[in-house]
Amino acid sequence: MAGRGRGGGRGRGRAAMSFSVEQLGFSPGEALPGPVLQPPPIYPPMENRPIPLQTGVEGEYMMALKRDFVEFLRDSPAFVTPVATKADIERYSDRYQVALANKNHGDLKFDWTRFPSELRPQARLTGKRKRRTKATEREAKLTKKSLDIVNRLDELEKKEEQQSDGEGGGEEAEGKEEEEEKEGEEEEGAMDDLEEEDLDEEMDEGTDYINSYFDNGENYLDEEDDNLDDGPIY
Amino acid sequence: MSLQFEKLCSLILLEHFGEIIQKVGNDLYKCQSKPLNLIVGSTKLPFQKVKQALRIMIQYGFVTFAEGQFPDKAEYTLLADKVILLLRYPRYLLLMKTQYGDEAEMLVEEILRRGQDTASSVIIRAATRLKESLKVEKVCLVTLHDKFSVLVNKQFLMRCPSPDEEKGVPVLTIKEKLLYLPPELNLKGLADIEEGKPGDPGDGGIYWRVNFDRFHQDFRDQIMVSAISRRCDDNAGELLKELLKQMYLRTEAWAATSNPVPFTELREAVRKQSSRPLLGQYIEQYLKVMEEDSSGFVSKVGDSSGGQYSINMKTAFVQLTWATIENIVMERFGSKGARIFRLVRAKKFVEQEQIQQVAMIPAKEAKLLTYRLLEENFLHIQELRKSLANNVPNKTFFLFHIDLNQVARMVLEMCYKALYNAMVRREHERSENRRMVEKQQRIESITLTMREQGATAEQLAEIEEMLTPPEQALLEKVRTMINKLSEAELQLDETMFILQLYLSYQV
Repeated sequence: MAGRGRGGGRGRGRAAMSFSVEQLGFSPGEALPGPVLQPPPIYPPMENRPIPLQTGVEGEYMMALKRDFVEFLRDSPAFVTPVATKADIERYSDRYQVALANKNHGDLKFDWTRFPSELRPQARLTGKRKRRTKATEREAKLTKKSLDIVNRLDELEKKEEQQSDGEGGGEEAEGKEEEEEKEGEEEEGAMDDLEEEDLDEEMDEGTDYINSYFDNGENYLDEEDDNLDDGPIY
Repeated sequence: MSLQFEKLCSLILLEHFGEIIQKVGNDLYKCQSKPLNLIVGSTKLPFQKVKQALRIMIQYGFVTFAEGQFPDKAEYTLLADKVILLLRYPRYLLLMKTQYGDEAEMLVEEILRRGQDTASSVIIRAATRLKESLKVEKVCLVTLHDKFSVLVNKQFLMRCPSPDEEKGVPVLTIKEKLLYLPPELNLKGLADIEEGKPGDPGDGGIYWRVNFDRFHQDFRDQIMVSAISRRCDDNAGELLKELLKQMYLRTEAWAATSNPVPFTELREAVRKQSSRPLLGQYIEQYLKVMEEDSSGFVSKVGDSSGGQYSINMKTAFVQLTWATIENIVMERFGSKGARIFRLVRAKKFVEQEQIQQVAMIPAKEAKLLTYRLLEENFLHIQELRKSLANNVPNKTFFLFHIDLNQVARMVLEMCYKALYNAMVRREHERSENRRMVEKQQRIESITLTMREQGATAEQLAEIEEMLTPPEQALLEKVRTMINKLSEAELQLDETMFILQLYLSYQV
């Protein structure tokens, strides 16, 4: 309401400007052009034709140089091609495109001392990943052992029988026993580690849920690491 | 750093290095510097690809790195200015060819192609390419090596900084005096490698790159000399060249004003060159003309030893920028628009009324042109109030003026945009007609093999007829258009160079 009151006070139209319109060159009686409500055209018409480009031998030579340079880079290993994504259906033309994409670009030679270590190909194993690989090894060991357990029980049974058969069974049996003991210790050691590491895993020991059916996706990128060969290290 | 610049940068990366590097470049452009993990996160590209892209961009000098917040983790920074220079590579090579010959051109091209490389491998690759192009058995490695040393001495090539010690993020440094120290190669080892035998050229770990600044310095001199030649005559251009030579003896190359050059030394230097007898005879007059010329390239700063002259680089580029912008205004708004623009330039601050009177253009037309120039930001308006009270409108003056710095920046933006548009259009034309071009290439290769097999003229004509006349006409049209666009790109770069140089002198 207040606004309207003020507007009324100033008068309408032309007088609302903060400067006199005559300064812009409009005579007192002349109507002002209406407001522009459209964005300017994307391709405004050209009023003057541009002057032609200077052509000459130098220009042509430079163009040739430029073309060569771009072509060289396109064929060089510096032109990083994206990983080809699998299309929904196989097309006939794909066969040719794949051939193009896999064109062997060779390898760039890098002097690795000049690059941050994280960019070097051999610097892929970080601390976290090392531990992870150890853990997976252990898992594998464990599963193997759980399979062996039946065999092992059988073995122990046989041994007991042997021992009961003849006390003086000979040094052979003793030797064997020692071996067994050693093995046992090792096993225990392994088990201890495991207990410390992860109780849950031990609980699952009996079942096969643990056996790498589950992929939490963390390995996803690492696999790719292995697929893509890095250049030789200099 | 603007949107246009970013788009142009991204397009250049795409054209030269493919889309992965383009994405990484875009991502890096958006922020000052970024560690590897964040780039992977925001680009959503495979880790391995990002690493590969970064390696290549570091190799070509588009990205630098420094240890960031965490130890052993580098942060990467994009040098967008270096990326734009990719468009100027042909000009660098042309300069090399005209001034230092084919071998120098080949050497520089080999370095540009690899970003940075050791002297030995550059020489060997240049030798192989020269052999192919010249169809000769043997290329003298010694001459190539000498050429390389000459280029280093002239500072066209420089050593790359190298790491001091083995660290997670190497710190690259180089001593000043080593920067332009020519390589010492074991030529026998070099020859062995060229013949395919194992050999040691003895320059392991020393990498070379192109010193773009040095090239720009030559371009700058060329521009100034040709400007003076156009304004006076060739003798004056020659004199300026001589002055520039004298200037380099006592002044740092990028100084705004050179230290004074005594007239006597200049005369000695000109006399030694017997090619231009007229110049030797009228050297004083030429100097006088150049000194009094409004362009202000040369000025007299003292009278001792026959007069002391210095070159004003900064003024020269202010003048050249004015000339460039005036020409642009002329082409866009016609000669009357240009007249108004020049008038405002001469008067510094001027009122509308005065423009009409002095420019001798009918009032209405003059207003229209002035406001159009204002609308497109070639002119600027300065309000001048007699009283600060808001309700006294009649006491305000509107003065037109030109802020050259701002106009130059705006024109530079226009250049970026034009360049971007030209490149997009060129790519579009190429991809639209790719099938046709490929067909033509196939036909050409078939013709070639048939000819080798000794086919009759009839058969050859038959093959050539596979491309119908309309198709041929279309192909020809596309080819001329693509050529025109690439030509335009190169010439736009020349305008950009002047404007960039002007802005760099203003800082």
